[in-house]
Amino acid sequence: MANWAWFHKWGSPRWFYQFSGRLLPWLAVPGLLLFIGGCVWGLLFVPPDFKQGNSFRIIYVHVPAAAVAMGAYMFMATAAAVHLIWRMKLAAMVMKVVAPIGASLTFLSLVTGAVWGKPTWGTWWVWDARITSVLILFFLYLGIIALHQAFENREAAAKACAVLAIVGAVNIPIIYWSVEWWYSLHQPASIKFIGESTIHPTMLRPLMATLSGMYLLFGWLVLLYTRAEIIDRERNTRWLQDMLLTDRPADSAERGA
Amino acid sequence: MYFESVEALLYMDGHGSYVWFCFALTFAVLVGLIVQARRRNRTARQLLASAARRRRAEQRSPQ
Repeated sequence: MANWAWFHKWGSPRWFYQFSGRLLPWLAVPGLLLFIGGCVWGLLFVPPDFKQGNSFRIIYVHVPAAAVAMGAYMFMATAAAVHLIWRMKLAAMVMKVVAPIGASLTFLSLVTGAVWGKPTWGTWWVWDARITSVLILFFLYLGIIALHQAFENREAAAKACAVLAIVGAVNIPIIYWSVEWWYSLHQPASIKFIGESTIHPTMLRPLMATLSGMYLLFGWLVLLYTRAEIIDRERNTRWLQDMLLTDRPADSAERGA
Repeated sequence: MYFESVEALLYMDGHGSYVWFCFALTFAVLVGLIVQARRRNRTARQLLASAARRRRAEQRSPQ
């Protein structure tokens, strides 16, 4: 018989609030260091690409934004499934807060991709499979945000969004393999899980820094927004009032962030 | 540093405007997300504090 205690613990907003508070600096500090460090490294110290010249440096923000935008979607769809199956309140909160973060990252990957396309391909935009499927990802995120706002009832909103998030997950493998299935302007992946990467180590190392930094920053943002969501939803509960307002009068607590 | 001067770094053989725009936009979006998260946290805490005040007032003078 499996021990499900950890699962119930994770589902408790109270436990999550306490645990995530301890986790915040461990995501923020390495996340910022890796991301900013990787950007400086990629901008200042790496030699230009022999074909693309200096425009290739956009890779250090474009790839992390695109990869984390896709990872965020899978994370949101998983939270959606957990909410639908186990009716976990916390999973619905996570699902809700990931959508705007994911939409921002998808927006970033589309714009930086377009700006990279101009000097490299000679065009800002092309309706190829990769770019179009990422545009669909952006609309899926926007759809989930809009659907959340369309419902008065929080439960009904979470259920509808969860269904949309899960159905939309079919787009993720399409984005991932689009560059292999329909080869056009967008190049195939340079970093491969199986086989040797087609990017030189001097260019790859800063990319690994910005990519892992972006994942950590994403985790940090998800925790920050989920904590705000917990305070918002549980503000009438005794445990939260006691936890956040102890040792100081309620009036002065308003100033704390 | 790869570039020989600050001008070369900014110009990047003609690609400077594309590259710098992308990095500036990325940092602007990330900073925006962080600021927004903190603002939401602050607003939620203010609502929590007023909810707690209300509860205390109700406890003091039960109707």
